[in-house]
Amino acid sequence: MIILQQLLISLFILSLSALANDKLCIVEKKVLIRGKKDQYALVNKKLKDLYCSKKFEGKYFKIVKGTSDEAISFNEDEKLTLKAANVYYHLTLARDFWINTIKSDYVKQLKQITIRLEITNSYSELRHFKNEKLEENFNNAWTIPAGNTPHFAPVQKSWDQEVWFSPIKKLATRDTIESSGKNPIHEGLVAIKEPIVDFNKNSLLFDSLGFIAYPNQYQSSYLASAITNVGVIAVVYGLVETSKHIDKWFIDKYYFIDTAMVPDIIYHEYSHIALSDTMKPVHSVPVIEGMADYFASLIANRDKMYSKIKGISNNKVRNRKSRKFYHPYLEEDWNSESDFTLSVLWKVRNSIAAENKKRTELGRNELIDPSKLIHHAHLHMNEEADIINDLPKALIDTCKEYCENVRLGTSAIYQSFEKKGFN
Amino acid sequence: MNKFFKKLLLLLALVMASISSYAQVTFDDLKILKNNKEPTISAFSQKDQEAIKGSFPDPDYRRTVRNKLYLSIMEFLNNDYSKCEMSIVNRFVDKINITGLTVNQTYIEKLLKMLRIDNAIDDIAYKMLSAINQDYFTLSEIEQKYTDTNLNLNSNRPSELSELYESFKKWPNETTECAYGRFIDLLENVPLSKKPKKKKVFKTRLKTLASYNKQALKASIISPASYHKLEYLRRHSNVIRGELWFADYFQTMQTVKDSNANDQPDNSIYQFEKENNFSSEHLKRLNKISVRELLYIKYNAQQISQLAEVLIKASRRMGSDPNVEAYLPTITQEFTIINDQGEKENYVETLKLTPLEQYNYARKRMRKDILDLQVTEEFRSTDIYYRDIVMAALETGYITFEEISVVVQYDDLWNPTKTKFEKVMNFIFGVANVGTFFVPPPFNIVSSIALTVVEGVIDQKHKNGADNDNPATIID
Repeated sequence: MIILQQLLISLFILSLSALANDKLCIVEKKVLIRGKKDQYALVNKKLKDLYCSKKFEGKYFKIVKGTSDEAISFNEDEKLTLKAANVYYHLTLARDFWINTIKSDYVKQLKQITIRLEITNSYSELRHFKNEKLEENFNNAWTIPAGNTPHFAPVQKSWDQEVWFSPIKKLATRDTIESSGKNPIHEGLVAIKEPIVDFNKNSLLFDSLGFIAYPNQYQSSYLASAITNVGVIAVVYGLVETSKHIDKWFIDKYYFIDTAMVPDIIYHEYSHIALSDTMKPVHSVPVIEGMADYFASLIANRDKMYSKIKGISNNKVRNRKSRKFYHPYLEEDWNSESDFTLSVLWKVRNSIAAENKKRTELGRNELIDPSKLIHHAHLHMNEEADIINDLPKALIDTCKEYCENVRLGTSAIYQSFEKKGFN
Repeated sequence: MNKFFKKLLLLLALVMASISSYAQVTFDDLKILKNNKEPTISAFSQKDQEAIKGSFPDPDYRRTVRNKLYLSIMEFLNNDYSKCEMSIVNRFVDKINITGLTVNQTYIEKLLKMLRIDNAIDDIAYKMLSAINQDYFTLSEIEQKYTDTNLNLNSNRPSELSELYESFKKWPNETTECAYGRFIDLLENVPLSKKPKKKKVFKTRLKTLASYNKQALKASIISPASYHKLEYLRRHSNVIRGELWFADYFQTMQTVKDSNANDQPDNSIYQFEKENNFSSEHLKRLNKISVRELLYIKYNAQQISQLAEVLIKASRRMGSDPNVEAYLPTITQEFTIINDQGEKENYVETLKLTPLEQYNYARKRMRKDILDLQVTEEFRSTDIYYRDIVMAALETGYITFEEISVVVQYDDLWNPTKTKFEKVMNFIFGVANVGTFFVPPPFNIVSSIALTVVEGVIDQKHKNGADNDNPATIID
């Protein structure tokens, strides 16, 4: 009887503690909000859906440090809690966007996701974490797919998809640059080289013919003009060659990003999660990265993504209005960080938006919501998708399913791709 | 034998009945007169439109007038063996007269404009009816003015002139004989002193007819009334100068208009007046012929269907047709090689095109289709323009107004359209380049280099994606 009583009491206490754990709280914490250019401010914002456990663990996200499985406590050091709060806040914004704006059923049913801060390990498909001493990561953020250890492993373990943010580290970049003429001065000189050289060559030829025909008249001026012409050509060639070696002047001395503090990067990583039903974040592919960039740019509402934040990041921007044209090298994995796919999707979006505007002005329904088009296109692709084949095909197939006017929609998509040089 | 003869007679009767019922136009058939192809009124000014809108506020009256015009057209199409266009206005005037109004040319013109504004008729029909209206009332006025002088005709004296004007010794009655038809016959029979150029035949004939008319009047072969009527038709009639006849227009329209449209009516036309005005655009600034009118002038029903077919095929090939499933095209090449053992071995190379190659392939194939069509007997003396293809597709209802903006860009592959900016910049740089010749040295060098740099920078900024050299494509 006493045993039964004790059992009942302990059951009551257990269920009370479970209830306390499931109870949600709203906590106010400082997070990073971007200002103009590279400025930012730390602003108090409410973090919602947090469990009332004074930790950065909520219904949808659990923020941990490194390889730990324990959520970061509010009492940890200030820098870490700032990052945890920042990541939690911006992830919640991203989740809300995917549910309310994109209306993603997949995101709606996602369970709690583990977010790892300050993690230096690399991802291992077999063991979850690689040994950090073998391969250390800095200035990076990535999303890992769900997985489990192989059946023959002594310790069995499984994990869901997670987002990892590695720590910041200042890397001296200038010294590693090998000059190849990728600077505006060299590019400008190359552009004007040809007309200057041609002009002087023609002038030299004209004077030479004049000298042959009328040696007496041209005798005095020929030498001077020939020297001038040859001199100009030599100077131009010299400047072009010399300017090749000044790339360093146009590159920042250091490279660093505190990825957990950059809102655009947080949105980008969450977009990987949101697209992971078909596009598994197994490796970096231009189409997957471009899709994530596109949705991140919608959440951030910025043309120039991942731009510098004073003291936090000096990353290269990805411009959704980039004028770059297609070239097959953009398909390579090493070009995943290019803004080309982002700019293609932005072009498609603008073209569809323009047609929508015309239609609604005439009292018609929208052709299709551009974000719905791009979001649903991901269902026609996988992690192997390429830019030239799979991306346009996925968009066209989606338009065939959902566009109010298929010919208008598909033609607008084709013409957007043509404008990006795919012809 | 008798039985067979009876059966044959029955068959013949059935065929005749089917032919006559086919030829009969019903009131329902006249629905095709309703304008759903020309959103913008280009036949008369905005000011006129505003003035007319206020003149007929009663929708019942507008509907009655529309029905009376449709009825007049139906009677003209069904009853007039000789299809005298003038009888449309004649019948219309009679029907309007019942209401006890003073009906004159101005009033009928107002009614026609009202019907055009209400989209009961389109610009082409309006222009034809308006021209007939003018001719009808002017010829009536002449008739009244010269009523007593139609005497002492020297019609019995046989001569070439008398033969030429045989049809006008008595003015046509517009039921079994048509003034327009006979005037065209007269024009075609006018002897010309020398053969004019093909383009100038019509004008030369009109000019030459003036002296023959005078001679015929002088010789009392035609009455002064007929002379003045002939002179009016020669100098002022827009029907004679026009290149379309109402009956032909209606018949062609009956065959082609919305022939490729879905069975369901196009409910997507909400604010028709604001739709793309491609069909109403004038070909040149001073030319009053619209793109749609030209289609009906240049081509017959069969040709229009063939033109539309070109775009239908292209649209299917590029996978843009909502009703057709199109797969990515593949290029296949078969090879036979002789191996070291002297045996023949076969292998096949297949290349699947990318979506953009599919799009460009469809456009290039369309260009070839146009050329193939151009060399056929039917199109031998007609130059096919891409504009005509788009208009034919719109007329047959295969494409809608909102699709025009994208469809007109299909031919950019071989006929790129220059933006206004490009045209202006080309002009500016052209002038500036010539200008550098007049600049004294050494400033000429500096200015020419500066110009090249500026040109390069602007070109770079406005570089067209279609000009990109994409090495991964084989159909660009």
